[in-house]
Amino acid sequence: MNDANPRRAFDAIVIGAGVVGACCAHYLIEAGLQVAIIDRGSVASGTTGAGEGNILVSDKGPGPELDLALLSRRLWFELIDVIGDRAELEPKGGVVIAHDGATLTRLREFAEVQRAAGVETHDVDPMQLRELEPHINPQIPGGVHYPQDMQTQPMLAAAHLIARGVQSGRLSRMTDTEVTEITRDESGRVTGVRTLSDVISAPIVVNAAGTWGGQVAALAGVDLPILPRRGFLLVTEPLPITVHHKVYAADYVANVASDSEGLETSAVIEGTRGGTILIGSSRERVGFDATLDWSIVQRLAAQAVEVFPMLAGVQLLRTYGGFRPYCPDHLPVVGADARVPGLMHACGHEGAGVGLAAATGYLIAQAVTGRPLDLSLEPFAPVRFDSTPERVGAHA
Amino acid sequence: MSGDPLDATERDVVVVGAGAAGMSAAYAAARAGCTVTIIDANPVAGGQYHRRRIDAATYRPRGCDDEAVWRRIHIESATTVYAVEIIDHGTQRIFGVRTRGDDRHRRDVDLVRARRLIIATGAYDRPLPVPGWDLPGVMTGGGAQALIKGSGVLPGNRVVVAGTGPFLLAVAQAILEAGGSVAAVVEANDPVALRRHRSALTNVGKAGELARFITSLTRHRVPYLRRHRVTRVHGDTTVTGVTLARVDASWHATPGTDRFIEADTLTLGYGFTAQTDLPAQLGCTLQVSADEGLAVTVDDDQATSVTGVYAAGESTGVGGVDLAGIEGLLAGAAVARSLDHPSPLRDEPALRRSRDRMRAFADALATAFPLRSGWRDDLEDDTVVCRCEEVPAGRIRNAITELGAHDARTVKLLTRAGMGWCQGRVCSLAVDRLCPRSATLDGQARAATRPVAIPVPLGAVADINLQSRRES
Ligand SMILES: Cc1cc2nc3c(=O)[nH]c(=O)nc-3n(C[C@H](O)[C@H](O)[C@H](O)COP(=O)(O)OP(=O)(O)OC[C@H]3O[C@@H](n4cnc5c(N)ncnc54)[C@H](O)[C@@H]3O)c2cc1C
Ligand SMILES: Cc1cc2nc3c(=O)[nH]c(=O)nc-3n(C[C@H](O)[C@H](O)[C@H](O)COP(=O)(O)OP(=O)(O)OC[C@H]3O[C@@H](n4cnc5c(N)ncnc54)[C@H](O)[C@@H]3O)c2cc1C
Repeated sequence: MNDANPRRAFDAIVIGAGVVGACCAHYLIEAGLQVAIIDRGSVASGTTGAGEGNILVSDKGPGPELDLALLSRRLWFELIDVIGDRAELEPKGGVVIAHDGATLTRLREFAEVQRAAGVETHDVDPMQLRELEPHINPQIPGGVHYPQDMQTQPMLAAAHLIARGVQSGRLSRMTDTEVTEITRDESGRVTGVRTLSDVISAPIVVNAAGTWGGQVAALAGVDLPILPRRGFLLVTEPLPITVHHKVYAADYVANVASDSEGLETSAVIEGTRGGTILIGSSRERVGFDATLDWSIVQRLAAQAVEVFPMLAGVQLLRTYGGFRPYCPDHLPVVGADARVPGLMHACGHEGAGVGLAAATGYLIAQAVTGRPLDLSLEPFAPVRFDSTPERVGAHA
Repeated sequence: MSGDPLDATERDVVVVGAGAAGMSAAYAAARAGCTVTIIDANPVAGGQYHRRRIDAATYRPRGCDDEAVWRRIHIESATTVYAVEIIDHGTQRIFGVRTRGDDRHRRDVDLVRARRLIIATGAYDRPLPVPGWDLPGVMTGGGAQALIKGSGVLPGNRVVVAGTGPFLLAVAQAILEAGGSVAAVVEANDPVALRRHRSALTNVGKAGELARFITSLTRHRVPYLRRHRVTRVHGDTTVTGVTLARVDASWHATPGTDRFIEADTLTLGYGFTAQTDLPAQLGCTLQVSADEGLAVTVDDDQATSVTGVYAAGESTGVGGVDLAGIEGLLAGAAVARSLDHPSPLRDEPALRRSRDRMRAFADALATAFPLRSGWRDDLEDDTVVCRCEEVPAGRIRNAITELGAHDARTVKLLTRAGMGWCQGRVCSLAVDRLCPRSATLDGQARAATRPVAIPVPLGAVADINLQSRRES
């Protein structure tokens, strides 16, 4: 469905109207480009509508992802200035807890390294913990407070960013439109996309197809190893505010970087503006199988009740889940594809796509317009998985 | 493990729902020699139609009168199934049926194991929003009927029965029989169209039932207003009256035909939605039935697309209580056969023929009372559509026009419509119909998938003991 816009030629096309695509489109139009954002479904119909909205620095150790996260966090405030309070941004802070002394020691060591890399952290003892979270299990020996962690409602953020672009006249929103091919000229350079019913041209195509980024890359004839990692969340009945921060257990930090295929869960507990409490989230690699496994629900619930005993009497209302897009090295793919001139990738953000979306869009726009980059995109290069990085059609 | 008291909870068959369908199914399966447990949310067996007071005689479906068989059936009342799962996928397929008792206590939960599952969960009312419908005094037709049958209480002193479908007549009849007063029956369609389906009608006794209802309205001087709709409900703290208007075939009100009638109660019902939560959890194939709602797809044996799962009655499509009973018998017999018991039914082919005839009739009836779109004109920006999350029509329209949401799922994500306590059971039809494009079958099935059919305490699902039973 198109917004009655007859235009078929653009400066750039963004494939995917999730939170990452929305941020790419936003920064591209800010840079003065005329842009089309295309999705085979509706706005936020992919993983953006199936996850949480944490913008985290607490779960990242020093390195390129943390740098990207710190930049992104700063940019999120800019985005909120643009779209207002409608994306429900809450700079509420995170609290990471440890269930035993040994874990607490490791957590604090980790926090110290993060501090050196620019993350604000505060060690907290059980007393301070209870000041931050009055309902927390008093037996928890301590944790670390991360005031920079935030939360947003990613569907609203994506939808409002895109709507604003549409209102400005610089963005065309094409939903229910599946891209079936990324077209190229004889030299191999991108010329646009083919959809089920149309041909749309642009010299730049941004692949922001999230978990389906590998399939979209294949439409341009290149490989991108992006795989689904399933996750479920539990949603409780609405309550008066009982959980004030994003609270999670320290083993989560280990899970994110894990390579195991099996189920991993860690209690991640937070309130929302709607009053519900979200309990997440499991991580498994089972392809695109969406059947609910009650042993996962049981573990998530048990872990949550262990951290907040009062949750035992709170009603579980529903569950939902989706498929995080992950790469073998757990870093996203951001930047130009050296194999296909004109093709940019902005996908594979795994469990951090919301948090990293702002910086991703910002850097993509810098790369497209040839401005100096605020951050090197080297670690996120699309060809880093390619053992034989030959350039398709570049010999012309 | 022998001697484990928990083994007692493994049954050949668990039937969910103790209405006409479930009770008949349980009876047939038990009669053939299966061990059967029926689980029902209500305190008394009987379902929607045979709903009765707690002190009334026990409900027995037609043709199910051998009390020796009933003594072998275990009925778990006041217990709701919140989820079903496949515990063992092997040849010895085992289902886990997760239940919750009425008091929502965290210990009041159980996991029952079963080799076969019969889903007979019926249907629930399908209301559409209208300004003022959130006032006390507005209820569903089924709700009014439940009050009368279950508690012997009249829903109000002067009732307007509105919506579409033959059940409006049944609701009015129930109120009149209980000594109540019906101000009008307001039918949005023109059921004269029924005549076109005379061939289907003449085959089934149902046509006579409808004629009797209409005669009864005449006798009580209740106007049966066809091609009319309630376009607004009046009142400050409770209903004081409604505005009616004549409507065209698309349900758009004809200007200048508004009129006010006094009433303290309004029942709303635009047909029923089959209760498909549990089969959807297991991935059973669903279909769009003649009334445009979703229903579980079943074959000639009432078997769903998932091996070992059967369905009967209203969950497979709305069709009335007699059809539900026959489908139940057939489902019970098929389950028994699948467990190597002989069929308990004397003349199965005749039952199958009656079922097919009654299904055809139900489908004809449904197409005579279609859903049209004119009701959308009534909604003001502040008319609440999702009552659980208090989402007004204006916000939904804004999500569609400004934010580019084109389907119900996106509207839900952007407005929270359908995310509350009832999980969209009340508003999802309205939200879907407010969207520029209706959801695909896949989309509808996805929207109708409720992984937790009713709320359950986290402490209960966290209980490792419940979990270990399945591993024992
Ligand atoms: C349970 C769970 C919890 C999570 N919690 C968090 C969290 O707290 N914080 C966080 O930062 N991240 C979280 N995530 C991860 C986050 O949701 C994702 O990283 C992020 O949404 C990815 O956004 P995206 O825009 O890249 O992808 P998507 O939102 O999936 O968008 C991709 C879009 O591309 C479209 N598309 C695909 N193929 C085509 C085609 N051929 N033509 C047209 N369109 C196409 C799809 O329809 C889709 O809409 C979580 C994920 C899950 C599953
Ligand atoms: C207002 C009204 C008037 C009607 N009038 C007539 C009429 O005049 N003539 C006629 O033929 N039909 C009439 N019907 C229709 C009739 O009620 C149904 O055809 C019949 O009840 C269907 O039987 P069933 O067994 O399929 O479902 P139901 O009778 O609805 O039984 C379903 C049972 O399943 C239980 N259940 C559902 N979900 C769960 C769960 N998760 N866990 C545990 N239990 C669960 C419910 O508590 C219920 O007891 C009327 C219906 C209504 C609402």
